[in-house]
Amino acid sequence: MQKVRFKVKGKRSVELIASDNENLLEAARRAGVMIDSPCSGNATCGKCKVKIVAGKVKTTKSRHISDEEAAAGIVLSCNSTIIEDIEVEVPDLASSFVNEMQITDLSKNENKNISYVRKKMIKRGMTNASRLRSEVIQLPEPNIEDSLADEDRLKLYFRHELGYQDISMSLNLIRKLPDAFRFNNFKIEVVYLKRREVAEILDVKPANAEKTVLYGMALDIGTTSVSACLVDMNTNEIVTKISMGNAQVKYGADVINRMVYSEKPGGLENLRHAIVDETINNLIEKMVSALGIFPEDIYEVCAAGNTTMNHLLLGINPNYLRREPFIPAINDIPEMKCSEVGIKINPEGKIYLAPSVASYVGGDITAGVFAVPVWMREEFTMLVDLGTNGEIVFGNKDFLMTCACSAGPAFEGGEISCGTRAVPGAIEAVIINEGDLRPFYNTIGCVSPIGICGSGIIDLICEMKRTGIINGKGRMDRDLNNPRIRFDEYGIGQYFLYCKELDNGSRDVYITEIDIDSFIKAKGAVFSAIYTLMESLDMSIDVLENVYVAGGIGTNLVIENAIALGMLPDIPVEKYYYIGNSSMQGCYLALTLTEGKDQIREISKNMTYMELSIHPTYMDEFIAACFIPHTNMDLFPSLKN
Amino acid sequence: MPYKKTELKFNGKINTCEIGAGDAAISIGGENTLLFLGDEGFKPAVGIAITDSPEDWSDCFTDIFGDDLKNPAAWAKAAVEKSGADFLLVKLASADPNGANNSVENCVATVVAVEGAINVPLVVEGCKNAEKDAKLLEEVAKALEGKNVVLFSAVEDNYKTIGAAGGMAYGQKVSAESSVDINLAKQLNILLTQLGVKSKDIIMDVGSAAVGYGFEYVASTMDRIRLAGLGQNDESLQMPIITNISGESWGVKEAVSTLEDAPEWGDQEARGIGMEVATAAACVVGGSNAIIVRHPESAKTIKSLIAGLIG
Repeated sequence: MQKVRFKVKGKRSVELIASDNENLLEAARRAGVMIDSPCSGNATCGKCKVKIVAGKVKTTKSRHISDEEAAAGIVLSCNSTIIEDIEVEVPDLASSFVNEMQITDLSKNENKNISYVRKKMIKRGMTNASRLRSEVIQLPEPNIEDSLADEDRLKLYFRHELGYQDISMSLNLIRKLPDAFRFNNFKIEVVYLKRREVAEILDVKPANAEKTVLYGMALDIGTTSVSACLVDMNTNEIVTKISMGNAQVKYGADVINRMVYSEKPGGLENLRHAIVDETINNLIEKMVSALGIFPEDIYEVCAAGNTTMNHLLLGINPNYLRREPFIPAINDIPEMKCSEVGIKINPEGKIYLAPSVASYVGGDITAGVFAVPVWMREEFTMLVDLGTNGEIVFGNKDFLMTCACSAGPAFEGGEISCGTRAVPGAIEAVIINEGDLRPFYNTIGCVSPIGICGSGIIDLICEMKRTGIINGKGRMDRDLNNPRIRFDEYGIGQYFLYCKELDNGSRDVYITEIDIDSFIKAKGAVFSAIYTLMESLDMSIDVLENVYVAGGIGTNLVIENAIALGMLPDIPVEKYYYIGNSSMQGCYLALTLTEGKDQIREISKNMTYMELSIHPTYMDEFIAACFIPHTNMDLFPSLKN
Repeated sequence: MPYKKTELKFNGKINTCEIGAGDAAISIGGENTLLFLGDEGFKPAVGIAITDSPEDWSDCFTDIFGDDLKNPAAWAKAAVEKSGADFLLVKLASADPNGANNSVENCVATVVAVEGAINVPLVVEGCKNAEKDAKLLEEVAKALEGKNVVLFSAVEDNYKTIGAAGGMAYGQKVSAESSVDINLAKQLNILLTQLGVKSKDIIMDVGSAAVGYGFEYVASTMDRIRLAGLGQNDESLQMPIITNISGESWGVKEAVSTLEDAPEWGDQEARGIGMEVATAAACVVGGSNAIIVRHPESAKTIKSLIAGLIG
């Protein structure tokens, strides 16, 4: 029995009693201390570095730990075991990726797209109103002649005054009725959902001077990041937006590693707890306290996540998703009470999850397709969602084809040595000077750099290729003698954007050949998916009229650079639109348009899914695309000179 | 309906690559159709392999070459004479830092001696350690300047040194090795040409396997490389193909099991030759412009097969 004390910067330290030879990473998880571990403890990613400040652990040195670091007591927590009492310092950068919450406005592109699509949908006949309503009602007070029961009294009012056939309510609400009615002499406020002829009562309370503002929440549950926005349901206005890393990251960076973890004892429950309590409820708490409202004021959640996220949110075993023939437990999840799921809003509040199409095309995509008007366009349109899984949707109002590829978290800055989400301090744009290979960059919020986000990585690699630091395979030129280019003891090349010695920096921000390789694989997966999908329809890339790029890659994505790297097809840049988080926009629209949810369901039923893993040429196309820009230059005519 | 012979015309053409110098020079490639389909008579060249460390070679080679095995120059001469091969490959296995770790100087001396002993073009194979091969093949290229030898092979990890030294500074030919994948082959060719090596100085080593050991991949890779070069006129895949099947063929159980191990399989030497001939024949028909075998009998058999097919 050993005592372990975890010191996390800016937080109070956590202590726990570890068993003999307990794995340090496991112990940290048990103590609720967040250590970034994308590879889920296989000692392959090198992200779970911690510093042992007192005591010793049994550890194996790996290529991720330099001699200097080893001397300073830095170890990989996943291959260290606890043999005596220790004190461990957990670096704040590792946790900031997940913990740092960011309240922002919607980006310009996001706002533009939402208002454009919303207008179009209303024009097509959708009702510009949510199903969520509230009324302040003065009920006739009962007397000896008018002896209707409270519930009958409310029902009668709804039938006669509001035109509903019936009302429904839960036992919990019925329990509230007698006192709520009598507190203010039968003047009450009723919150309900309009379900065609039936009003489903969600809340009954004594009427106050002011009508309560009802809130709804649009929620995008990503593998790497989770974003939410709170909507004033009376005005349909987005009052706040927030995002943070998915707390499940500590159990694995991608859906496959999470599924593997879910099979460990207690794994499924840990994952459910991580997303529900540590992430979603945490976000809700932050938003309501920033706005000075109560969680009970939120009555509806419209959420979208990939199929695995949906399974894990609901605590359903996801493991048949990853085993052939890749079968989900459920695609179209019925609307349910948030309290059943564990999400802390109004106890009667509802959660709607956008339906999935297949194991690897989830509700985030159906919601995204809803928000990007692929389904109402005449001309051929494509949606490319660059998340941990890359998903592609191609079609128009007559048909929708979709496929998914595993891109890994590189586009969101995950599994990259100095990767970060698009938060303040993230390098989002880079230019490299040709002569001395010095980098010039912008960071979000113009503060000193803490890491590189997706759009910064694209710029950086593009510039490294242009200036000859790397070749088409992503390998650094061994003959360049430059202080910004170094090779570690294992011969892995690194390029420093910001470092302690050269820039007098507080930390090092660099990219390694391994990072570049992960990125090349990610972009190769996306491009070959696009290409294979179009090929299978016997259509050329030139038929594309609009390409919507979505995802958390960063608003400063330079499309020209993405094309130069061979990540996106070589068509005129004017045809591209970066629209940010399409999945959350879809949720917002479904929340504020009466027919929205039915339309998403309709879209999910009309999408044809193509399984790339069994497609005969996909693997070949993938290898051909794992080169900058591409092995087949005929696909990139504009880059030929 | 009378039979009508249709001819498929390709717009692309495989580069002609000359190897060796002076009287010894031969050229490979140059065809504008799949091999053996046209009547131009482009015939694949057959090479014979020797090594500077034959310890793990089958006993039958001791029977054939005797003490010459210990002297690469003498062995080279005997191998060419006994096999009638068009060219010779010498493998510098002793250079392997994980094995004998023979010095670059010693290896270069061996190669120079071998070159002097033969009057056919020479292919010099490294030890398959990318770092050592870079140094080794660079020095070989320097020592044999003007002899137009093939440096076998540059891989992704050392193509810059081998390409710059061999293909550019000392005017040798560079073989580009990839592992049975059309795209990887193409990528390495692009990297070499971007470096400045001329396409006509590159030969592709697209890899191989012994027949029965996943040869389908080799067959389809070669097929697709040739169809891309000829049919789609893909210039980055129009280099001649060189294939060394000797190691693969003599390394499988059919060639390794002794007569005691598998009496029902018959004579071990005949089995080795059988594997080698079957594999070489499949490669030649698949598009290899130069094929390398170990056994003189294999070389003779393949040469007569080629002659027969060309007619």
